[in-house]
Amino acid sequence: MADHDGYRILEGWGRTPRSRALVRPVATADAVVDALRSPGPRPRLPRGLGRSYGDAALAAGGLVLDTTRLDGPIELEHATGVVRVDAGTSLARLGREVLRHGWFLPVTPGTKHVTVAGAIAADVHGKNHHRDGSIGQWLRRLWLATTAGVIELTPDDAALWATVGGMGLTGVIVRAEIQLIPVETRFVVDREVATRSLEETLEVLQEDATVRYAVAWIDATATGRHLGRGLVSFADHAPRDLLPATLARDPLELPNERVVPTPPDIVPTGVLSRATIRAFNTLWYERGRRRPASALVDLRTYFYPLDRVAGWNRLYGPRGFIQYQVVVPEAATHVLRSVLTSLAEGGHPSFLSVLKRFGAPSRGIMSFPRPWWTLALDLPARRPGLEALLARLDHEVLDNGGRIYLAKDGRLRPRVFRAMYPEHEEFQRERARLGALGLLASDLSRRLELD
Amino acid sequence: MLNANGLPQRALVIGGGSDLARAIVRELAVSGPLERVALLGPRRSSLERVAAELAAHLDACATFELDLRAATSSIADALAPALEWLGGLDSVLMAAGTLPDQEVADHDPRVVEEAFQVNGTGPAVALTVLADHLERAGAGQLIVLSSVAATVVRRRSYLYDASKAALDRFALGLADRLEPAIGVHIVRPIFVATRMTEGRPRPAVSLSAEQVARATVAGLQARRRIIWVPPLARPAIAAISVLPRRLVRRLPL
Ligand SMILES: Cc1cc2nc3c(=O)[nH]c(=O)nc-3n(C[C@H](O)[C@H](O)[C@H](O)COP(=O)(O)OP(=O)(O)OC[C@H]3O[C@@H](n4cnc5c(N)ncnc54)[C@H](O)[C@@H]3O)c2cc1C
Ligand SMILES: NC(=O)c1ccc[n+]([C@@H]2O[C@H](COP(=O)([O-])OP(=O)(O)OC[C@H]3O[C@@H](n4cnc5c(N)ncnc54)[C@H](OP(=O)(O)O)[C@@H]3O)[C@@H](O)[C@H]2O)c1
Repeated sequence: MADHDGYRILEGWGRTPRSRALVRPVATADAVVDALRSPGPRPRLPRGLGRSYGDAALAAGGLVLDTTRLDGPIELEHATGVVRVDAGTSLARLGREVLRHGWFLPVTPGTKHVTVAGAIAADVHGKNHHRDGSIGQWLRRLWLATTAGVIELTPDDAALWATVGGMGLTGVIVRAEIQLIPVETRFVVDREVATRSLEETLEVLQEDATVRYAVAWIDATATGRHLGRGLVSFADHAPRDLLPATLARDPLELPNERVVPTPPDIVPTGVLSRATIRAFNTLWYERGRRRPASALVDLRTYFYPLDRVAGWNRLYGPRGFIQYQVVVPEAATHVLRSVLTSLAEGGHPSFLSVLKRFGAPSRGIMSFPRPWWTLALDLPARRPGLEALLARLDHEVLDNGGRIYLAKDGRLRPRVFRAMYPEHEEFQRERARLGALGLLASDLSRRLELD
Repeated sequence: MLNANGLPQRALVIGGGSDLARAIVRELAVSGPLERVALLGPRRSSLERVAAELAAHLDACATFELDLRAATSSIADALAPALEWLGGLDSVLMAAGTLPDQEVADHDPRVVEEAFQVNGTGPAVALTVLADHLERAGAGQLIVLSSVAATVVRRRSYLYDASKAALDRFALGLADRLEPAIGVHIVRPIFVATRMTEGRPRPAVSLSAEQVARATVAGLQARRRIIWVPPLARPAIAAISVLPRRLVRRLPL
C-alpha cells in the first residue's frame, strides 16, 4: 500500500489500528543516526517485522525507520555461544545459523519472524520463562543509536534496562550481544497432558517447574465445568542419543520449511465466526487427547506452529483481531476464570488461547513478565460490546495486581496503564536522559499519553 | 489515537448542541475510551446544556462558538482554538444541520441560502480544514451525519434533501481521498425523534437518538463507509429510486 513519496499505511499483526507514516529503510548504524538527526516529520520510531499486535510499531504522521535491513553477518563465538548480531536480523535466520554450530536462542516467542531488536524492545518471553527469564536476561551488550550517536550499553547501565521492554521509545537498537544455549539436535521431546478443567490445567502446569518448556493450550470456548480445559505441554531439547538412527544424521540441520501461502486479502469477516472458532477448539482438544503422550518434535513445529501458514492474521478478515494478554499473581486465578467466562459468555470466543506460568520478574523497567499466571487470547476485534467488556476486565486485572502486555496491546487506556506500570515515571526519566522525549514516539505511546 | 476497536480518545463535534451528537458522544464515552471532547456550535446555551450532561462520562469537555453561516475564514479561525485545546484529534463528528420549512422556503430565497450554508457549504468548508488536519496526522476518522433524505428528493422537503445531498456527496469524495488511513463514515438515518423533528408529523417508523448512536458506533467499528439506519433503509431507497418520477412525486414520503 505504498503511496507516492514513501508514505505507507502501517498496521500491527492484529491489523487494527492502522495509520499512515513515512517509512524509510535504514541499512547501517550511521544511516540510523542520520535519520534521527535529519529534519522531517516527527515523531520517529524504529520498526522491525511488525509482529507486535497493536500500535507499538506505528507512528501516525511520523517517520518510521524500517530496521530489517540491519542484518549483516552474524558473529558467533563457537566455544562460548556468545553471538553478536545486527538488530534487524530475524530470529528465523539467527536460530537457523547458530543451530548448525550446536547453539539455540535462549528465549523465543511463538513466531520466528521477529527481529532481534523487536524481541529486545518487547523483552519477549518464551515457554521457558519460569526457568530462564525473558530475552533481556541473556543480553550482554547493546548498541543503541540516539541523536548523540551510537552508544554501547552493558547490563550495568540503566539505559539498557530502559531499552529492554522499552518498545522502541529510548533509541534505535542497532546491534546486540546475546548468550545462546547449547543444544545437541534440532528436536525437542514433548510430553502432553490433557486436562479437563481450569483447576487441573493450573495444577498440571505447576507440577514440574524444572522442565525447560511448559505451556498450556486452552480451549477457551469450553464453558461450565469444562472451563479452562486444555493440553499442557512439557518439553526440552532432545539429546543426540535419543534420536532414532534415521534422524541422527545431520541432527542440527533444519530442512527447508514448507509454508502454506498467504490467504487472500478478501477473507470476509465471518470466516472466524463463533461457530468455526468453537468447532476448531473442540477438534483440537479431542485430537490432542488422543495423541501419544510423548513425542519427538522438530524445533520449528514445536516453537512456531503458526508460521506454517504465512499471513494467517488475514483469516480474521478486515476488522482484524486483538490479542489480550494479561499476567496476574499466583492467588488471582479467579481473574483467569473471570476473563475466560466473560468473553465466552459475552459472545467473544478466543480462537487461540495460551496459559503459562512466569518466573521471577524481568529486569527491564517496562518489562511485562512477572509472577505468576499469564493468559493470552486472540479475539476478533471491533465487535459491538467487546471494548466495554475488555475495559471492565482491565480494571479487574489491575485491581488484582495484574497487568497487560504492551507488545500485544492496542487499546489499554492511559489511566489504567499508569496504574499497571507505575515504573513509567522512571522510564520517562531515562528517556529524557537519552534525548528520546519529544523525538521518539509511537501510536501506542501517544495513546497511553507517554508522549 | 483510535484504538484497536476503532474507537477515539479525543473528538471534535460540530453541532455539539445537537441531540444526535449528544447520544453518539455518550455512546463513545460509555462503551469506549473517549475522554476529551470539544463541542462547537452557534449557541452557547445549547452547547453548555450538552456539556453538562456529558460531564460525568468524560475527563474534559469544552465548548467553542462556531456558526457555519460565517465566512470561510471565520470558520477556519473558529476551529483553531478547539484543535489546540484537544491537543490531538482522533475523531470528527459533523452533526450540525437545519430542517427548513419547505413552504416558507418555496418563496424565500434567504431560507434557501441559509439551508445550504448550514447543511452544505459550512460543513464542507469545516470538513476541508479538518480533513487536511487528519491527513497530516496520518490517522483518525470523520463521522458525517447525512440522512436518507440525501438520497431522495421529496416535494415536501426538497431544500433539506438537496442541501443534505450536497454534504453526502462531498463526504463520499472525502472518503475516496482519505481512506484507508482515515476512516470516513457517512451516517444515513431515517426520521429520528430529536429537537429538529419536534412538532413534525412522525412517520410510521422512527428512531430514537440512542438507536442511531449505537448503529453509528457499530458501523465505524465495522469500518463501514455508509451506515444506513436501519439497514433496511438501503433497499427501500433503492426501490424508490427505480420508480418513475411521476409516481414518486405523489408518494407520501
Ligand atoms: C504469532 C506470534 C506469536 C508471538 N509470541 C510471543 C511470545 O510467545 N512471547 C512474546 O513475548 N511475544 C510474542 N509475540 C510478540 C512479538 O514477539 C513482539 O511483538 C516483538 O516485539 C515483535 O518483533 P518485531 O521485530 O516484529 O517488532 P515490531 O512489531 O516491528 O516492533 C515492536 C516494538 O519494537 C520496537 N522496535 C523494533 N525495532 C527496534 C529497534 N531496532 N530498536 C528499538 N526498538 C525497536 C518498535 O518500535 C515497537 O515498539 C508474538 C507475536 C506473534 C505475531
Ligand atoms: N432528526 C432527524 O430525523 C435526522 C435524520 C437524519 C439526519 N439528521 C441529521 O442529524 C444531524 C443532527 O440533527 P438532530 O436531529 O440532532 O437535530 P438538532 O438537535 O436540531 O441538531 C442540529 C444542530 O445543528 C446546529 N446548528 C444549527 N445551525 C447551525 C449553524 N449555523 N452553525 C453551526 N451549527 C448549527 C444546532 O445548534 P443549536 O443547538 O445551537 O441549535 C444543533 O445543535 C443533522 O445534520 C441532521 O440533518 C437528523
